[in-house]
Amino acid sequence: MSEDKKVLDLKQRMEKIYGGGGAKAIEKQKAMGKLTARERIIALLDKDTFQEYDIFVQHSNTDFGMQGKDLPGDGVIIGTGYILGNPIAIYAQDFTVAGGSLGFAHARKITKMMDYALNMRIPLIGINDSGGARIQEGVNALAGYGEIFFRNTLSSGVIPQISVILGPCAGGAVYSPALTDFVFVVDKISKMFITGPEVIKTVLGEDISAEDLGGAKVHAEISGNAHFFAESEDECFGQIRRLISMIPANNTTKAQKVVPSKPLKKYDITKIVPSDPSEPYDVRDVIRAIVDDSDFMEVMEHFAANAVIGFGRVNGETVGFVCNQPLVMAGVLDCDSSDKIARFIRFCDSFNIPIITLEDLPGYLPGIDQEHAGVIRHGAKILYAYSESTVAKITIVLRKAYGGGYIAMGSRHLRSDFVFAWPSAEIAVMGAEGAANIIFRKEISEAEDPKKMRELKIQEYKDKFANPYVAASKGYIDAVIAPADTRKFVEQALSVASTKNTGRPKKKHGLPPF
Amino acid sequence: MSDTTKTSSKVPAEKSGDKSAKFKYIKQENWICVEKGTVFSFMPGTVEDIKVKEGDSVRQGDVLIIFRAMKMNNKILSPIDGKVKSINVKKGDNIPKNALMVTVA
Repeated sequence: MSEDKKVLDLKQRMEKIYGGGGAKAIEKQKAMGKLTARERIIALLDKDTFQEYDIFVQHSNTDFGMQGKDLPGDGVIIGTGYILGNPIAIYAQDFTVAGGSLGFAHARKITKMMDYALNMRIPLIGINDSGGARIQEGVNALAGYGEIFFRNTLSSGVIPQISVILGPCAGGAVYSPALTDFVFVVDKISKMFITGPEVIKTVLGEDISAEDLGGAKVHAEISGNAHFFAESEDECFGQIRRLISMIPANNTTKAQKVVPSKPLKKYDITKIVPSDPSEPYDVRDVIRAIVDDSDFMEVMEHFAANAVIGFGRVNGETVGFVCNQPLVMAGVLDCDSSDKIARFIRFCDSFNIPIITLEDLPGYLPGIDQEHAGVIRHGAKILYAYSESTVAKITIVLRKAYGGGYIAMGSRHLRSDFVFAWPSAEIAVMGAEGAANIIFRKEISEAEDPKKMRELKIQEYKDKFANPYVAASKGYIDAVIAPADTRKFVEQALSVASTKNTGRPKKKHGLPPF
Repeated sequence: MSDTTKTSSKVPAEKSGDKSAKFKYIKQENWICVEKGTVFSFMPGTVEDIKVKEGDSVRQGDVLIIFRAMKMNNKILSPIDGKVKSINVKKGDNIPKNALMVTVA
């Protein structure tokens, strides 16, 4: 063969594999409203940047009639490419080839890419669309999952790991996404569960559809397993590209700096927070009044919405926001929001992203269900995450900061570098009503008009403690600032903290309460 | 971090039943409802004010009830366009979690 012929031969071989599981299987995939694995990679990456590896890999299974069975690429596509100029490693399971089932060769392709991503210190993106373990390969398939989980753990906190669920992801397969940093789901396409509807029917006799059991909405709203929810695959790819642009490639670098800009004029920080502490507002408007272009990328928007977390930029540099949301359940901390906040803080700390905490909460949520669900243990995660993190931390008390909530939400005591409060801040051990009832129990019960006395004492407590100045007089608050000056103070704090260097005692690892 | 444990099965079920997967946020500020148009309390609290009457036409996002919980006057919004079919609470009522407040159809 001449050189030209050899190249032609190569092209023909590749063309055949590009056909995936064949026209019929592709048609089926399309009928489900899904793109093929290859189309997904091309849609996600910068134009013409995908370089595929291991295209000719074949399985070697001879059991159960698998001998000689042609499975193009063994049902998974791997390679490298760019997103907005940032190099990334990617794998995408191909549902058209044997239902994207995971066999030994399939798993080895994935782990090859995982090793590559870790060695090169670049983000890893995994697109999951698979029926599960390839049963014909038995324990070899299980071994494959185990190897993937181990590498997920190894890479955790070193490179960002992103899972995209674009089809079924069931049984053992769900644990790789669960170990990664961000899980993306798409409405009506993503399905995740440990045991599917059939098993539930058989074992428990309960009827539930796959969508109601583990659809995208379930994981985005109820279970908290998913971080980003999209209506379509295209929207999902847009979200991933945006996220990649905001986070660093690994734990030794910072996120790419972009051209700085100011918040939009329509978000007037002096007009968002009502002075009456029982009036709710959307804390995301405060974030938008602080960040460049008022551009805030919320993480886990639909889950535990009483807390708001996400990324924005200040002076072109990425920051993470951790906030209470007075609009939802008064912004209380509970099991779910504690979990959400703690994990986000640890991500930011791992990847050198400064944390800005906006605080306005009545405390932890009282209730039997919360106590029995372990709010002590879950709430402790926040304390652990803030205390452990050494990245720059700025806290701003907007309004209420009561009791345990005050301590938990990035207080000076957990080593926030800068703690500011607005004049509207109320920093006290508990609300005035409860406090007056306890401190002045005797005076109130013995008074001629207990109701009047009670109101008097509540007012007395409010006057003394429902402000930021007691905390400021102890130095727990660095500065009481006018809301209009917030961005100025944040800018300077970030600039001062850009060379922050502080440590924690060396240990094998800590024991956070999870 | 581990998944957050949901309510233990030992806890007595509250007024309108279990925390099943059917509960969904319609809109963040609106909180949960089981089926379209049924609005439940998201936590124990007091009915501070009722802004609609039975038979009123409402649009999605209109305020139905001011519900005071955790010292906050939460606005309970209509999850859908429709008519207020029933109001199951009175002004000043102390209600538990997951209690049916309003039905819009």
